Amino acid sequence: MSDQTDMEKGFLKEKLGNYRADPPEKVWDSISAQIDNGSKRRGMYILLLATAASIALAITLGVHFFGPDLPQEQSRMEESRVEEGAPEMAIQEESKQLEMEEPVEAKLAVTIQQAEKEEADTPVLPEKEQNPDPIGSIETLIETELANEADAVVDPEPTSDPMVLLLPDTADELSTDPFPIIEQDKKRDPRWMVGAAVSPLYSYRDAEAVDKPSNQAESGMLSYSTGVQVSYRRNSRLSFETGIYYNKTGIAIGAPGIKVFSQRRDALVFGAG
Amino acid sequence: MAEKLDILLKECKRGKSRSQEELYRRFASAMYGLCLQYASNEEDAQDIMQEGFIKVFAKLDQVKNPAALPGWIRRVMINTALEKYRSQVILQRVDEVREEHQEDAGNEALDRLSCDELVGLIQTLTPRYRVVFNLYAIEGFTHQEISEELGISIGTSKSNLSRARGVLQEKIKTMYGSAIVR
Repeated sequence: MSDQTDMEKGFLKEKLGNYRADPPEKVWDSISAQIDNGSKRRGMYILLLATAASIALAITLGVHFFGPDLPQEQSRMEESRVEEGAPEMAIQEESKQLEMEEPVEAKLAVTIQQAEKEEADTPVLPEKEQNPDPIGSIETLIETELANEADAVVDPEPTSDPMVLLLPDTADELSTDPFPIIEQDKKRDPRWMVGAAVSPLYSYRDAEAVDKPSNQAESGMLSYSTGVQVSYRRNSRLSFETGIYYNKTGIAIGAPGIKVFSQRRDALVFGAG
Repeated sequence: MAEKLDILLKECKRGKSRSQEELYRRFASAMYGLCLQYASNEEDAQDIMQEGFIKVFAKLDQVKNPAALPGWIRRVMINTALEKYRSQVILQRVDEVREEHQEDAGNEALDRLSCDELVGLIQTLTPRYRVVFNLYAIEGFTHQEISEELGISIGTSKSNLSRARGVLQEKIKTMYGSAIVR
């Protein structure tokens, strides 16, 4: 039985091992279509990756080359603001504030008068309980008042008025004191821009040969172009822009009014300007 | 030839559609013949062929040696056929069979059959019998290998083969009468 099976096995292997039959053409059509779909999906995946990578690269390069300049730019803006009249305004404001306050000498005179009055009103104590040096007491009081006054100047009372906080205390601080309003400007500063663009696209080709009529069966095709872009504005006259764009172009071929088929081409365009 | 296959393989790996079509055309008839042996009809064979070649193109990077390509493609096709068999098969209770003593049609009868007729007969077998018969008689698998491939016991593999042979012999007898049966 085993010999018989082995013989049959060899015989069948020889007979059917090289058996061939032609498949119908539709089999390849299906395979081809599925392979194309796979390639397109892979292409879209690559396109997405390329888009993300180019955006990341543009941002990285931008930050690398132009990032450190941003604070300098802001300082320059601050300085220009200061030069344009901010210090005069600040000094004037400070002077007004100081003028509004009572002079120190006047405060001292009032204080001395009050002290003398209190001293007069105070019942006479036994000698040992009295201050042996009333003049010294007044001087101590004056010193205390002066110290309080100095503290008041060094550490001004906190105020809820934001404009007061923005004002520099001295002229030396004018060049270094950051203006909080600049922070707001930083947010509004339109130096970096990321955008997307979609536009209709009409493509055609002019196929004319010498001594031969042009191909009248061809006509243009309406399509679209889309992409993302990143731009950096260096100043009012110079800006850089880069992006990745997808264009679908092609031509329509067929008799007038009857489109037989469209020849389309997909193109990925990297642009910089 | 080998050099051309090498170039074809490289271009297919790069995704060139023209080379892919050339590769398909080169192996299509042999692989379709194989698919017909594992399928119960042409439609199923075309499905196996289609799925198999899509896998071939998707996994072509695995082939390092161009000389191994024909065998690799054949193996992919057989695996695809087995996957289809596993997904379609309705588990049938197949008894551990006693060896049936059937009249043997012999190689003479098989020799009279054309390949197309023989493939047609194989297609009439049940999926299990057909797969076991093909793997054993044509691909040269052992019962151990068949049992591992299909997840059945060695005894079941043997009984399936025996049943398949019996069915084929019956059909051959019916076709050619007792004249060829010794």
